[in-house]
Amino acid sequence: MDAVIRAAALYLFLLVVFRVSGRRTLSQATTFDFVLLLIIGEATQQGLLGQDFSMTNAFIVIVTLMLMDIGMSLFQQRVPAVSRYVEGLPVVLLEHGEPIKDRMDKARVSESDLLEKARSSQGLERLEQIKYAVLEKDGSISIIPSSS
Amino acid sequence: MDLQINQDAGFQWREWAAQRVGWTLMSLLVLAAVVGLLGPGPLSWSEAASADESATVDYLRWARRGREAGLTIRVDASHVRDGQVTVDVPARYFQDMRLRGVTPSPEQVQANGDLLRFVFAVPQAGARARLEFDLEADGMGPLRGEVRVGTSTVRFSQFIWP
Repeated sequence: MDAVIRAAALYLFLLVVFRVSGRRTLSQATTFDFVLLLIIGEATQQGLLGQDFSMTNAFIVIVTLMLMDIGMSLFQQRVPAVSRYVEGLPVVLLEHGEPIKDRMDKARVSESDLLEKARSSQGLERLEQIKYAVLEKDGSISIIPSSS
Repeated sequence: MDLQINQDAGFQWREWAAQRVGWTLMSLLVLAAVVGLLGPGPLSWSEAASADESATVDYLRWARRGREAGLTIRVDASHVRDGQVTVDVPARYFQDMRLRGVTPSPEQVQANGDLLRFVFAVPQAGARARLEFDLEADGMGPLRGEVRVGTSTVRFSQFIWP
């Protein structure tokens, strides 16, 4: 019983922590971010398993976490209003070559980030060649080129 | 169709159907864990009593390997003789349940044939005794437990999940 409660509590806790820390933290994974994730995993493991190293406990914890995830996706599908709180919404960072400064600052995205993405995904050279740049829900940046 | 793609709608629908079945099975597993069929929980916390109900044992019906599965033995005052109460437990029980400690500490532990005899001091006349055996499940599978207090015997069965 306690294994289910522990797993469910940790799922919700991590959901909140990662949501609050913002998208950029994970999408732009640097080596350090990766190490940080590993450490978080280590710390999580202790609280998740406690003193119980039985296989039964591992099965219960894994299945509980997966079910929470499935349940959360079904919940968002049925009640779309919830989705924005759990996963966030996409945000336009650049319109017709004009960066929207305040949004980019809040989203912690720099002009060079946009240019990098424009080069790598569309082969664009300058900001003016971008029609829209959108920070997507998953933290990636979509570039839509101007059709000139 | 121009698209060069290896798709199979029939297979896809069967996969989705199988996933739904899987979700149901997973839910049942979690439900079983919550109610205590896979370890400590409401359906696992059990009590067994001797025929004359002068001795009772709290035990875990469903225990988990590597995890505590203690016994709480409650003994009626009628079993106290000369300020002592004796509890016999088959020695093989402790092969599947490792004994980590007993509270209160027994005055003596005797090897009595196949039984282990624990002798506890009960200084106050007419007092009930509450004895805690701190155990860690070490075996696997079904397990029969037996606790004898004087002439009263408490029998119970347990299951240890791997």
